[in-house]
Amino acid sequence: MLEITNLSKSYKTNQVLKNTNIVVNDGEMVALLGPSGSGKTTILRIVAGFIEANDGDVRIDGESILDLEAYKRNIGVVFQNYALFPHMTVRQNVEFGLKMKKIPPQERAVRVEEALKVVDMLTYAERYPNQLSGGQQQRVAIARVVAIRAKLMLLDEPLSNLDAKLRRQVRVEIKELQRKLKITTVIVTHDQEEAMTLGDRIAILNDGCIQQIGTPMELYEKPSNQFVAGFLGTPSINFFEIEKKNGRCSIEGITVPDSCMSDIMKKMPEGEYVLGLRPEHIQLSEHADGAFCIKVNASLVENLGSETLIYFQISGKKYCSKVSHTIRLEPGEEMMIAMDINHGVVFDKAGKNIRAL
Amino acid sequence: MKKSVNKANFMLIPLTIVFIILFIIPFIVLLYYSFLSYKSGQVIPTTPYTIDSYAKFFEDSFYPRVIGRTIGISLLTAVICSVLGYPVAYFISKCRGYAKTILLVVVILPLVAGVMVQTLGLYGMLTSYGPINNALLALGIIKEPIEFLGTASGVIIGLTQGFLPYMILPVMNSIQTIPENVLEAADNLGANGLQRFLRITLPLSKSGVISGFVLVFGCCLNSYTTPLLLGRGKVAVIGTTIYQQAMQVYNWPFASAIAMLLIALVLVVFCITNIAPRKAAKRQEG
Amino acid sequence: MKRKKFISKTIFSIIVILILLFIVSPMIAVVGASVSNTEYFQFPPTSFSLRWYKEAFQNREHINSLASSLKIAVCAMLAGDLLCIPACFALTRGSRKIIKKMQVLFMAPLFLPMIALGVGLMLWLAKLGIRGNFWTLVLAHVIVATPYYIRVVGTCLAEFDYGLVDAANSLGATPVKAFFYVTLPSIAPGIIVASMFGFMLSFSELIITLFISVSSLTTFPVRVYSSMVTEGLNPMILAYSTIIIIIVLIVSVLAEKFAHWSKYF
Repeated sequence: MLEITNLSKSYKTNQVLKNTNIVVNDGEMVALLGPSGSGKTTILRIVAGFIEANDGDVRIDGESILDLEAYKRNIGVVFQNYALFPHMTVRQNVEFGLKMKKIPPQERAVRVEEALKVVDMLTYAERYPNQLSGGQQQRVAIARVVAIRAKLMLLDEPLSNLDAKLRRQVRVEIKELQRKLKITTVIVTHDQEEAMTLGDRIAILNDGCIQQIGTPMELYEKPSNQFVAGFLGTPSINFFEIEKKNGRCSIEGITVPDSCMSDIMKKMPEGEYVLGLRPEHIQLSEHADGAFCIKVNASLVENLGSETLIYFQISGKKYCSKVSHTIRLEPGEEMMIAMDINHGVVFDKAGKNIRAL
Repeated sequence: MKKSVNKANFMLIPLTIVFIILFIIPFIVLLYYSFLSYKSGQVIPTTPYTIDSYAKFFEDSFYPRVIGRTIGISLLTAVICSVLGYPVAYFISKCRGYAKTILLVVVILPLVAGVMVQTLGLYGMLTSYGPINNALLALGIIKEPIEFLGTASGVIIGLTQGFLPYMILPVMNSIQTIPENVLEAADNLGANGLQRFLRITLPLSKSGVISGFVLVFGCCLNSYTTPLLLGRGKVAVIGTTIYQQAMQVYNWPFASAIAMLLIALVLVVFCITNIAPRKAAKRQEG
Repeated sequence: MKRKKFISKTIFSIIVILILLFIVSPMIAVVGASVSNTEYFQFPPTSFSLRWYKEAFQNREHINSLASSLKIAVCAMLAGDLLCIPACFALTRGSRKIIKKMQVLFMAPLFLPMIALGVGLMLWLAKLGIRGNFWTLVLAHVIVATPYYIRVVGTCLAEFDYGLVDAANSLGATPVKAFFYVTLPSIAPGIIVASMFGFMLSFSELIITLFISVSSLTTFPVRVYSSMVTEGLNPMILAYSTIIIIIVLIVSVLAEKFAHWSKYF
């Protein structure tokens, strides 16, 4: 429904967006995920019409919108700081878009009530924005978009201004709302947890380029490059140096027994690579078997209640293991870790997942 | 976005045109006139261009003394304003709510009511039979009424009253920009009230004091009404001299020359206070 | 220890209040002397009378000059709004290089001597042959008020969140509609305060007006000045001045209540 083709944008010498291609299907929620400066907000602002692209096209339902002024595009935007009009009540804010469309007063009133009911803010209709909390302001911002029945909704970092507890709650609300209204939505965020939970699909960007597009699980289990692997997941993925020489593999200098080698490791050509292994795939060897085991010293133990994070070092480099129960372990104590290499991802020197090659 | 930036510039045009016609060109005309010759009531509008007017200014020792007197009065007024204005600025900056707004309106009121109203009141108060002299006599501080009007002291009193707000406001603003937690840190590290003031508040509000000082000084250099009316024509400053030459003697080239010298003086002050700090800052970095 | 602090704080407060009294004393003296029953300036007044007000309302010349001043001030306020407010917009949104230079130009009336501008204007207008023109006087007043417009409206615009305009656009408002529905209401207080400055600065402007006004177009401050120079302090003038002070006071209080103008200082 939304097609972004070959979109490019540069400011003087700085190219912020390079040949970006994204397709968003009807009723889908796609998250644009990336660190600051990756170009994700630029894409949003180009689609909304606030800035012009240098190259490429944006089509909604087959028609290009780049020639249209921002106020003709009928795209709903929820801004990071909500951008509620401070001199208007909640009701007047939500009514604004309908007024601009010259919809008659009776119908306006009906749609405003409808929109406010959907976000559960009807009782606050006569309040002013400065009398509302952050979460409430955001709901009004969403109501404003719901009222105009836009075909496309763009959310710019919707959760970043909320405190942690509120974030989880609002996350759920947004997901349910989008499912109910079936609006095609694009969310821009730098928070990978947000993207993983909200997006039907995620487009990860770095440095103006799309690194990978896919469902959260695809990106998590089969990252196309090291950046994607490292960006998703908390705590972040562990990267080990792995070398294949004379048919044998060694991880950080430690030889891997033949019985433990994974399919990829058996098939990959000789050379130096990087092995990505998530913390939950490194367990204590009393609880796992058939995996590659090493003896290490625990340097730091973090007990989070439902799980324990154990930090250890190999040849001076720090790694993390996530164990799903409580453990009595002292820093400095020796322990045996088991790496589930079958779940590991191997990257070549350029950072690409070799399974894709 | 690119389009709107260019469009925005167009909104400057009407005001700029007004400024060119009624602000820039008059100054150029002034410069032009200062180089014309003047012979007993007749301004000769053609060549030869001459610097007679400027020469005349420096020949007679009267005129350079006028500049000296003006600078002296202005400096004194600026100093007095700094001394009197700082406490008021500090006081108001620490006020909150209604008290603060009332005080601010009080401070701004004279500026808005206009120099004529202030001068009227000052004149009436400073006469030898006026309230000030009466109070001083009653308190036994003086035996005879002091002549304020017609002397430099009267003018200084008038200028101080008029320009105190210009000192109070910048100082107040600079005090208010000191983050609250910097003062709390000083308390926390053991500074008592006076130490905190001398070592933290005062140095950090320095820029406000300097702005205020320069502003008051500049306004005094340019002043006309107060010195004329409170000085009763006997205190000759640059402003009154320009007026005299322009509107009474009709020696426009000379008046223009004096005006140009005044502008030069003001620009010098402006440059010193704006360029010197920037150079000092660069020296600190590099 | 606490007592010492209390005493020194009280002394400090008293000093500050005395200085503040000094600042407003001329206005208080004018108001007080205007109700005095004497032919000269007496403050505090020992005998009271309103006769100076009676005389003031009967003096044709002074009333005419008051009317002129009002007319000019209203026009200066409107002209200032039309000229300066768009310029303020340009100063916040225009290209950097131009902005810097223009800002210096527009703030110049604060630093450059108005007496010099007066002489220059007089000579220039005489050359053009349009001395005593109503609109040149109005525009000259606008120039004097420009720095205040820039300061006040500039501050207002700096605080304005331009994201609101984007939001309005995304909801279908054309740039013009976005301006009237969103931008204007937010900067309205600033515009009101700046307009008031425009009005009052024009009303009380003396120096430039002295040079470029003619007998058919005198303003009130010029009239008061002339009468002070020729006749000395006529108590009738005090009556007028008191009325002006009261008006200014009322307007200041209203400006504070409705537009919070103290935050612009």
